[in-house]
Amino acid sequence: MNKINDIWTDSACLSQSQLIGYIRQTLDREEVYVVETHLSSCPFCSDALEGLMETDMDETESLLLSMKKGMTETLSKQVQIQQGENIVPKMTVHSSSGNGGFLKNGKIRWSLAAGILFMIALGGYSVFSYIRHYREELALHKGEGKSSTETAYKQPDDREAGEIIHLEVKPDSFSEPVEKKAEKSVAKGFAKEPMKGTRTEEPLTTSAPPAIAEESKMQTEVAENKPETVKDEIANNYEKETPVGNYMQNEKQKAVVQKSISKKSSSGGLSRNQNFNTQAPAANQMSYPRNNNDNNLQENYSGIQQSASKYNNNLSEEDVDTDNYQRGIELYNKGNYKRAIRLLERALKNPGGIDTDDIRYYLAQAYLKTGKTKEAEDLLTILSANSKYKKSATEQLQRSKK
Amino acid sequence: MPSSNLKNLKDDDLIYLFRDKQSTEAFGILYDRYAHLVYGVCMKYLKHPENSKDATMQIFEKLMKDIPRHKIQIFKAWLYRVAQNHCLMILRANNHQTKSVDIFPENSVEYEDTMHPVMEKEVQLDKMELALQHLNLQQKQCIELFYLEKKTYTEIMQETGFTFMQVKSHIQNGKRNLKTLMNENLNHE
Repeated sequence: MNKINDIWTDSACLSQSQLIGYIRQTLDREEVYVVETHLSSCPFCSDALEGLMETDMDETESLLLSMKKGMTETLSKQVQIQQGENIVPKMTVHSSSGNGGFLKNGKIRWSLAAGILFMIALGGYSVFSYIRHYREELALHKGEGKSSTETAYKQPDDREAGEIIHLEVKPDSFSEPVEKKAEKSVAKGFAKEPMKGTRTEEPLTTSAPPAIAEESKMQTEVAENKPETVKDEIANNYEKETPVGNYMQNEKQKAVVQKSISKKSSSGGLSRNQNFNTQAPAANQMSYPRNNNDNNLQENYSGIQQSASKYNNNLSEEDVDTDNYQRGIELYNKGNYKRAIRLLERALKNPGGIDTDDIRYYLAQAYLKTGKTKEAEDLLTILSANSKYKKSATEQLQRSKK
Repeated sequence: MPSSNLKNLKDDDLIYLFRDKQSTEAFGILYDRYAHLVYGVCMKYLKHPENSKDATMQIFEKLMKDIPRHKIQIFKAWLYRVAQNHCLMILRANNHQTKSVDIFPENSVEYEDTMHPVMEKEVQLDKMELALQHLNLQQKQCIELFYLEKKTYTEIMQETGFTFMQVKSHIQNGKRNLKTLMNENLNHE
């Protein structure tokens, strides 16, 4: 029954000679069995066999040969292109002679495109923020306008409402629609006091909603160049007492958490066991205002928790990768090669931000120390192809083969 | 074409050399390893040697661009899928009235082994023996003859009277069912 274990073994795909030999029936019994065992587990080879069985083998062989020549040419062209790229000095990209000039250089083309995109994004952002500011301003004045209209309706009874509005709302500021006036002020480059007239005519305290009143108060005081502390106080009151303010405060708290996360990651990240606590606000020393929007706050907070835990997960994976490499090297230096191999192999699978050439180099050394010459030679072959360890890897490879 | 000792490297290593170190030699070795298989797959679908040749070349030229762009886990499984898709695309382009093309015809099988990690060697043999009893007679017969008695397809054909494709199919389907049965067994526990 042990033999049936072969069912799950995986082997390399069939070579051209194996496949053609199998079809031409030139293989001996053992080889046929090897081919068939592989066929039973490899869909690729199995399909290829089916396809090749339908062809004339002589024709197939000559086609494969001509294809190989074609591919050799393609690859040598590729090499020439690569060498050409290396030979052309970087200074020449500035000369715009010929067709396309420096735009032919991929790097410059991409950085130019990135620059243009950045400018577009910046422009878009400033327009967006400008419009947003303008709308807020407009909303504020609409509120005021409405209140003045309401007052107008409270005038003597014997006149028609429309008439009253016309007569009562006489000042210059109301002689044209609020929107038009705002547009004018925008055209002027956003005058510092675009709607001054409207504000002075109708005090906010009587009719405007509390949030708007508070906001206008804050704006007035800030405009008067009060010291930073006063401004902050006003902003805090505003944030605590109005729905808009609540939202802003939640957003601020989110930003604080994100800022602290990014700070930690930029200063080298958290260690494996030093996870960011996402269990309770108290544990993170964050204070939350008690108000009517506690539910919203709770939702926002759970959002913060989720993003923090996501961050923790990512961080710990990356940490583990780095750990594997560093601990692997430590163990290698201590002479514990077997454990070093295990960790370095893991590091090679998930290198994170580590240069895989470094991992390969140490892994090859560890293999050599433990007598795993074949594995070491594979790694040294890769390193000797093109890496910073090219020279020493080539020497070691030669020594190992001797 | 390649002549160095890169030939012994695994697919992953060759991909790394081609993608990160621009080694065309590594790509050449990958070509040597798989070109005949890609050509065979193209022949299976396109049934025309010259068209299959062109398709094979197109696939490998596409690979040169695609390898650096994709994170490839199992190269041969990925290449197999790329080759199939390319052929189906050609078939659809050539014949707009093509009905749904059967990637897996009736006598074909689905392979799971290459798509999933290979099962560990210390598979519980008694469970496998139990699962073997649940296979249909033809599959059981072919599996036993092939894996236990180490007989070749031709010998099994002579012994059972099945055709080549039937033997191939019974072994492959039997193997897949065996794996399913064993997985079910493990899940019940």
